[in-house]
Amino acid sequence: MTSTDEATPAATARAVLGIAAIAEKMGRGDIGGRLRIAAARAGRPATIVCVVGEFKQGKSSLVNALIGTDICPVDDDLATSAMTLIHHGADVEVTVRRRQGEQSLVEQIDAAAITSWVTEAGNPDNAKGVERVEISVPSALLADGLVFVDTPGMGGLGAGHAAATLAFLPFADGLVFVSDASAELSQPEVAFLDQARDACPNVLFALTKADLYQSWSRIRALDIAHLEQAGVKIPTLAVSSQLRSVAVARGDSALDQQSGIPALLDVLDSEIVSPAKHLAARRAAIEAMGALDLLDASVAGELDALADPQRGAAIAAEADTAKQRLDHLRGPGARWTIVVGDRVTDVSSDVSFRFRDGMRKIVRNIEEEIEQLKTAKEWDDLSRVLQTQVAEAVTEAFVRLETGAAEIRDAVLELLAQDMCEVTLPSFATPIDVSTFWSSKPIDVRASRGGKVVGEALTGLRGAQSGIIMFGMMSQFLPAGIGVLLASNPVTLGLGAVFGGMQLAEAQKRKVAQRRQQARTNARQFSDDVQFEVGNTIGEIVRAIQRSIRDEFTQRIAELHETYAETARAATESIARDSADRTRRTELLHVFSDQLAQQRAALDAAVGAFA
Amino acid sequence: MNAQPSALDRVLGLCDLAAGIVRGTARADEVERIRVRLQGPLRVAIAGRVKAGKSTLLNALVGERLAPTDAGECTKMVTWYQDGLTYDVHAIGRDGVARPLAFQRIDGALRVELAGVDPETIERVVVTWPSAALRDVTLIDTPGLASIDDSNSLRTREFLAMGEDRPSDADAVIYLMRHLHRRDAEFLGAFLDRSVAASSPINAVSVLSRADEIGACRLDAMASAARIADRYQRDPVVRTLCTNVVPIAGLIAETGLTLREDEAAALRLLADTPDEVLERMLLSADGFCDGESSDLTIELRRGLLDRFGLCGLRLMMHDVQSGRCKTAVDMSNRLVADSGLDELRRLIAERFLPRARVLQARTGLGALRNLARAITAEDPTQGRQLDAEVERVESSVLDFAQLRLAHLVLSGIVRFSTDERDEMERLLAVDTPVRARLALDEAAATADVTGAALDAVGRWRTRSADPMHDSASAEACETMAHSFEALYAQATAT
Repeated sequence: MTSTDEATPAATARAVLGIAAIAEKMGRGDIGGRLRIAAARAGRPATIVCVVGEFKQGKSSLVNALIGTDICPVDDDLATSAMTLIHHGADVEVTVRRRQGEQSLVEQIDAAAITSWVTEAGNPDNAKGVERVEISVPSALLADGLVFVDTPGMGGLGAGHAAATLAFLPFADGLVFVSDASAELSQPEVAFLDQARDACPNVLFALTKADLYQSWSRIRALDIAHLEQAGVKIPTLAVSSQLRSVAVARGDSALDQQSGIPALLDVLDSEIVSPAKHLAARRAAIEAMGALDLLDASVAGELDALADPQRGAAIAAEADTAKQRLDHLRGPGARWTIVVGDRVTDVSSDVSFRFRDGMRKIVRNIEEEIEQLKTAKEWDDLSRVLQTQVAEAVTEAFVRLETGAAEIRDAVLELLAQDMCEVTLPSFATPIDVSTFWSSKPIDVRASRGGKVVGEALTGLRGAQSGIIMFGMMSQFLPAGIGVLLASNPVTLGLGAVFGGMQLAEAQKRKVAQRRQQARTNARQFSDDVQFEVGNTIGEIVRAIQRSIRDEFTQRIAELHETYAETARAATESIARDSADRTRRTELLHVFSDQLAQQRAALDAAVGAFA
Repeated sequence: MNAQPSALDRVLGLCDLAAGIVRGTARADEVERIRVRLQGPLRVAIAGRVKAGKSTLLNALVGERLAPTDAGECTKMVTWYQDGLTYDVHAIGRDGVARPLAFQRIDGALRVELAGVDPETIERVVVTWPSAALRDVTLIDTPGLASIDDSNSLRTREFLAMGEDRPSDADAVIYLMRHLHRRDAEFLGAFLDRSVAASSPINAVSVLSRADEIGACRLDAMASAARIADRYQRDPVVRTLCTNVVPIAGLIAETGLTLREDEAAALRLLADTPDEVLERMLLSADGFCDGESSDLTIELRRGLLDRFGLCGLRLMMHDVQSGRCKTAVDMSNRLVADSGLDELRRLIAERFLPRARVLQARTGLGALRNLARAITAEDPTQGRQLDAEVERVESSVLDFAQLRLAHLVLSGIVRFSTDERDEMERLLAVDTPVRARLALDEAAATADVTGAALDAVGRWRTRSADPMHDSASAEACETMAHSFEALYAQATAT
């Protein structure tokens, strides 16, 4: 990372912190606190990078090599079976989130026991119901908010993980695709990359195990050619996790360079982490602008009052009216809180209804197909279709939740702007532009497409917590559920008869019919399970959305309320001040005003540099 | 094994019948092809995903670097390697016409010149190569499945007749997989999913290929691969597709069998490199070829890597330094032993070859059945007559019933207890003395033999009459009883 790249996010964070300090000196700890949080978030935005590929390509090894630990279990045979999030923390801590029956459990486990939770052998058929495992590790790389998601391999019988991974990508900031240097990319891998690129703009390709094959550079050239032919152009880097681990153990920097991991980290930084930081900085800057307006208004109001006691009285009166007006917005009976409640209920029932309807159609379609199937291959295709369709239906539900939440925010903004427009403040030198004050939502430059599901560009999806919840849930039920369907394949039953003679005996036919019936029952059961899981999760997320919208606006209204209250108080006080006191106060306010102007200029410069 | 004419003879008889029906028509050639095939060696196809190491394994089985191998996807044509008197390469076109092709050997590997023949028009390439290894078995190399180049994948599917209504050209299949992949199971499933000529656990063996790389080329990599193979073999899905999963390091086997003295000398020289330098060289392929580290030229080192792989080199360095390997013969033996190739050869010798004739007869039967169907479309009377005869042969020949029995039990369609399964495997073991097949001592008296056989007949008859059985189980028990009857007949005849 070069210094110029870092300049803007760092400068932004500095300016935001500067404003926070001024706010605190002005007695506005509420605004200061919020800005400090915004600055911290800008410094380490949650940047989610998904590590995907077919299984046994060295995904977990690569994650270990990138971070410089051996926390992810690596084995010749055992493949990772649970989605694993690795983020920064002061100590190594492992948290397992799982569902046992209808209960959601969150447990801390011993880091040494991790294999028994995240691998197929330790947790066969996910009997423990693991949705995801979260690992915190002290790591300089992750300290800035980078989060790796180690995913189960996409291959294997059933391949539900590929469907789950693709569904998650609109929620991720970046993707590291892993394939080893032993062979060229296969056609399913190219097809996956082609689809993945639609859903996630930042894709890197790590060609692993380069230490084992002297022809890695040829394989890389071939892979690049295959990808170009498919219209996919992505950075492709050969790496060796093995060399990296030896290099780290020996402190051998030449060997480290040879491992290719430092080069991959550079690209990861420039392609994924830096853009995410820029975006977060922009978001913080816009939030700080709103706060600056408040602080400016309050300084200007008091200065006016100090300069002209008559206007001071008017300002005090107007600010008081505005404050009373805001009191109406603070109670639980305020119009906007009722609107939030109503709209959230609407979104929740709309999403649930559409999802159930979608699932019903999928199952009906599958039931019809089950009657028609003749060959094992068709049967396999069918289960893949079922997985993909279910994954799409679930993604659609979650995307709808997120867009629904954004729409609710917009509606509340409009409502509040209307309510506040009725407050006239003719005496204010710098009236607070309430419409811009509310909206701290920047335009997301890295809009993601929802892939086939939604088709249109989506904003604000990246980093959404609901995406991670969704991914964990899907990577649990998609592969497991399909296994049940595969097992009831009536075609395998028919084979014995087909093998022997051409005609199916009556008894055999009856058995095939029984199996088909069983398959239909299984498909329906699968659909019920999915609906139950997804329904529960939608409920949880809806409650979280409602809470977060309420908290956000309540806090903002409180800040605005405080601003008017403070202005009214200051205006009233200023009338009573003697002239020496008045001069001192005026000087102090001018200092604040100058400082604010300085920070505004700094912020403008920093934000301007994004363009 | 019994007094009746063999399965092969019966099917050859069917060929005569069919030849009579189609005489003078365009189908005459077809019947002739079936006949030639029945009398030729067993055809074993080597199939698997792209870059699974199919050509390398083929070379190891032949013991020569015959099939070209490469880091990139290499085999583009279905290629047959068969024994013959002279060295010769032909392309068989889709029109059935054979055209001779020019070829040369570079580093032992064949380079075939297509010389203007459009690859699209070639159905297969046939390499005739005098070799003892090809005497009983014709090996068929196939382009990888899930290949980027779809036409290659298609060629293999076409060859193995997947999804098509015609029998496969192969009698048995060695399926190479790296880690068990969805495509592998799909492929094996589809291969199973055809009529008479279908593969089944009885004529498919899986190879966990490039086994040395699975364990990151550590010295204990093969032991690790063996554990994985063992796990796959016990997997219920895999079990219905093949009974054995064998770990093989194809490159190590190939090199072991074709090791040259100059290579052995280079290895000895390399082993003299100071320990810390050698250790660093063996860390990675790039490190091994690093200019400064050794007196050996870089070209030579690249050549060694090509031949041994990093795993083979680590193994050789370890063994040469420890004094375990001194001569080229030591090295060759060590490489072959470590590669797992012997186990695959044993399976071919014990599972495929003894059943080869029956397998072929079964494949031939499938071809004749399709022919009958084709004839029926033009001439219903004669077609049905042939079809009925095919049906009759299939249902009356014990060998076919036994294949079906093995299929039903091994693929798990009929559930036998472990003891019963062992009993069946013993019973069906070909080229084994009667006493061993009855689990009796070599010195057992004839009376004991007949007694044991009759006892088993009774036991299995009773089982087959169990009304709780479905028809497949009843059929399996019935075949067990029949087979013991045949043993009884054999025992009394001698």
